[in-house]
Order: sequence, then C-alpha cells, then structure tokens
Amino acid sequence: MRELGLDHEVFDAAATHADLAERIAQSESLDALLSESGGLDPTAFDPSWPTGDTE
Amino acid sequence: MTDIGEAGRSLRSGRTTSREFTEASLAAAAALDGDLAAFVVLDPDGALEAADAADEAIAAGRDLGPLMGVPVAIKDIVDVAGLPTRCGSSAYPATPAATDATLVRRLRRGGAVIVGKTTTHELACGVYSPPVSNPWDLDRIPGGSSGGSGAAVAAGIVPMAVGSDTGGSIRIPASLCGTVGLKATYGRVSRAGVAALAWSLDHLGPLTSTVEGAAASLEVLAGPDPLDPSASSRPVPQYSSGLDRGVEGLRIGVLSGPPLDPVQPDVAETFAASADLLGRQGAAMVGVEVPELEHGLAAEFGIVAPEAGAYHRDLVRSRPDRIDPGIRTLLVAGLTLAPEHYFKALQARRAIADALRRVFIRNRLDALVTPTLPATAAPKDADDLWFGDSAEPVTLAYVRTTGPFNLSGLPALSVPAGFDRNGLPIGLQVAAAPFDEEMVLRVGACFEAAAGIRARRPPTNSSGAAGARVERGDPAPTG
Repeated sequence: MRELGLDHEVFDAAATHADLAERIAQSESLDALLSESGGLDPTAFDPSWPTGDTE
Repeated sequence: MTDIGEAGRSLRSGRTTSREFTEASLAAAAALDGDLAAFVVLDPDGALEAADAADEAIAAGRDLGPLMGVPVAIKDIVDVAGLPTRCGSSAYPATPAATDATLVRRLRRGGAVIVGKTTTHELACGVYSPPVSNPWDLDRIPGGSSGGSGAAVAAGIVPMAVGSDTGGSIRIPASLCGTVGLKATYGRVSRAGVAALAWSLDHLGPLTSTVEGAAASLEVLAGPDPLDPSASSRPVPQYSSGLDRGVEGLRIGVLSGPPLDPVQPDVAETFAASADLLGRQGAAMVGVEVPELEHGLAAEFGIVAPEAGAYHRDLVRSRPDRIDPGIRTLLVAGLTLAPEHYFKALQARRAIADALRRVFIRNRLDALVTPTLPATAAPKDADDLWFGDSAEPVTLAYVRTTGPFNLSGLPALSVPAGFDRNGLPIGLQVAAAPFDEEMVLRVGACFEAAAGIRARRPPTNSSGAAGARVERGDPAPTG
C-alpha cells in the first residue's frame, strides 16, 4: 500500500487485506456467469440495442 | 407545494406567481428542515431573483417550458455557480462553484427556480444519507444517496429535486420516501459538472411528486452535451404528451427469481397487487426470470470500487482521515485490486445487459416491472434488514433490485405503489428498452392513476401541500 501512496496512519493493512480477499471472492463468483461468454469486449459500453435485433 | 403540472397551470392562468411559490418553498424549508436536514444550503436571494424573472417572462407572454417559475432543488454533487459543491464530505472545499453543471444551465434556461442544494450520502456512495430523516418516520432513513432530494420532495418543500443514480440512488430514496424517481437511459442526461461516483454507471434524473412532473422534468434535463462524451445526441421527445395512453395492448414482464429473493411480505403483496392492477388496465402481464441477475451485486461493486477509487485517488492519498471508513475501504480496494477484476466486472455487466435484452425480445415486452426495493425504510441505526430469519446488509438489499438497471443502462422509474403495515411507502419499478423513457412514464402514469394515488402526505410535510401521495394505508393498491 505504501508503494501506492497509501501510507496514512488510518489505513489498516489487515482490514484492507480481509476486504480485498472478500472482493476477489466476489469477482471469482462471476466466473460462472462468464463461462459461456468470457470473450465479451468489456470496453465502450453502449446501452443501445442493435437495430432490428431479433436476438 | 403543489406538483409541477398544477404549478404550471396555476402560473400560466395567473392564479399565483412564481414569487409566491418560491416564498412558500423557502418557508417550508425553514419550518421543516430542522427535522429533515434535507438541505445543505438554501439560496433565498438567488431563488427570489429567478422567481421574479420567471414572473416577468410570464407577464410578457413568453413560455420557457414546463418548469418555468417552479422551485426545484439540486443534489449537492452537482455544480451550481455561486454555491459550494461539498459532496457530503468535509474533505471538499466550501469554495463556490464557478460555473453551472450542464443540467443546471438547462434548468435555468427553462425558467426553473433553484432554491438550494440537497444533502447527499458522502461522495454519493451509500443509502443512509445522514443526517437526513425520512418524512414518514423521522427515525428512519430516507434512502440514498439522493436522500435529501427524496425527503425534500416527499415533504412538499419542492415538487422536483435532481438526484444521481449509480446503483439506485434516485430510485431508492424515491421508493423509501414515497415519491416518483426517474433514472433515464445512460447518457440521456449530461453528467458534465457533476462529481462522479462511477463514470460508467452514473445517471442523473428527477425525483418528483408525480409521474407528470418526472416527464416534464426530463424534457428539460435531457439532451446532447459536447461537454459529456457519453451524452446521447438523440432528439428529446415531448415526454408529457403520451402519459394518458394507458397500457391496453402492452406486454409487461413481471420479474421473479433473482434478485427478488427475499422480499418483505408486505412488499411482495403490494407488488403482486400492482401487477394485477396493470393487468386489469389491459396489459398482458408476462412472468419472466433473468437468472443472470444473481450476479448483479458482484458486477456492480466490481465496477464501482475501481472507478470510484480512480476518481477520488488524490483525496484517498492526501486526506483519507476525512473519508468515512467504509467508503475509504471501498476506494482503497479500487486502487489496489488487480485490473483483471475490474474488466471481469465489466464483462459481467455486458452479460447482464444482454440477458435483459434477450428477455425483452424473446417475450416481446414493452416494459418490465419489479418491486423497486425488497424492503421499506430501515431504522437509522440498522446495519441489516431482516427477511424472516435471515439478515442482509441494508445497502446490499436495496441495491440488488435497482443495480441491474445501472448495469444495463436501461431507463427505470419508481412510482409509489402502497404502504407496509407500519405506514412506510413501497415503490413499483418500471423499466423499458434503451431510450424508451416514454414507455416507463406511460406505464407509470397509468399505474399512478389506476392505483388511486392521491394526496396522502407524510407526517412531516409542508402545510397546504397538494403533491400526489398514495392515499391508502394498507399494503396493496386498488384499481
């Protein structure tokens, strides 16, 4: 954390690591969703649907 | 304070003036805000000046649009020239903003009267919005992060307040405070001049006392903006014109399964009655499930943490002691997690958006309804909401039903649907295809009228207010 400039006394390294572990586990839970669509381009999100979309 | 439609008719007929409306709004704020804490700053001089200008325009026969002469409030993450933007944080300076956000410029151009700025949960990152109280029960939260906007509208101080919505922050306070809340399609309302929480999920929109007011507000707020590359260049329809078309012949999806398990019994009962009511108005109600929504929270927070961390990185490094510990933890996670987790969350977001699109197309849906939230307003000191014997953190419980429409970018409206056994409001959420705000407003207006939603006001309210409220006290609407 110090290398990232996060060296203030309020930072609790143990609590941060515990939180990160939980977030990584959440991230890994997404593998089930992405197993069939892992190649989706994650960038340039556009909410529009394709014109004439029939699926 | 009356609603926007009635205010406009009253102003144009000469029955009242913008100055009278504005003075009433300021008086209501003075009388109620000691209990509500909905406002962080009021601007009586600026408001009265704008009101007089609106009255002059009306006298000269000019019509600047549906918000001309109407008092409104702005969430305190939006720049209003001459007023500070503190974002609910002591770390932000009290120096006034030099320029207006684009949406504020649009409001001023449309003759709206800005009476002040509303309290936000710190950095727009939370659902409690302390110290704001819910007008229906001062010991309960108003929701958030646009909690001040929800409380101000529900109490009748203003008929419209602007909010922002990254995971539900317009619709959550709308549902908990018994107002209408509209999150339009991603890009429909410019974000220029607004502090970000998570760029790719942030939306702006109105909280109002009626669906008609939401439609009128969006007509003013929406539009292209060269200052915001995500702002859509699509033309802005006249949203108010189709509100009376009803739902006859429409196909409306009724969501079940994730993320609606669990919900409080009174919410479930009201939702079922609401869907039944829409069916009796002539819509074909179609049961649908979207199993992919089970992953909505993981995707939502997998995006919020790194985007918020990046946006606030200087603040985290220089003044971390000024940030709430829970929010600081999220920001630090965003700065330290490997990029693969962020990109995976973005991929999941696309998968969820695709799943929703497929459900609309396969079932030929015009709209989709859900309970806005699985629960009513939590006590201020509650960490968890209880669903039978199981507890769930308050924030996660609220965001799981609203977040999917941030991930997909679809328009979503919350409209009052009833009350629980404690007299707390319950909302119905209506979503539709991208940029089909006309559909969510049309369905919402039909529901609002059919449910008999009238002037039931919260115990803490402005005297003489005529804003629309659900009149019934039992869990289900009638029609």
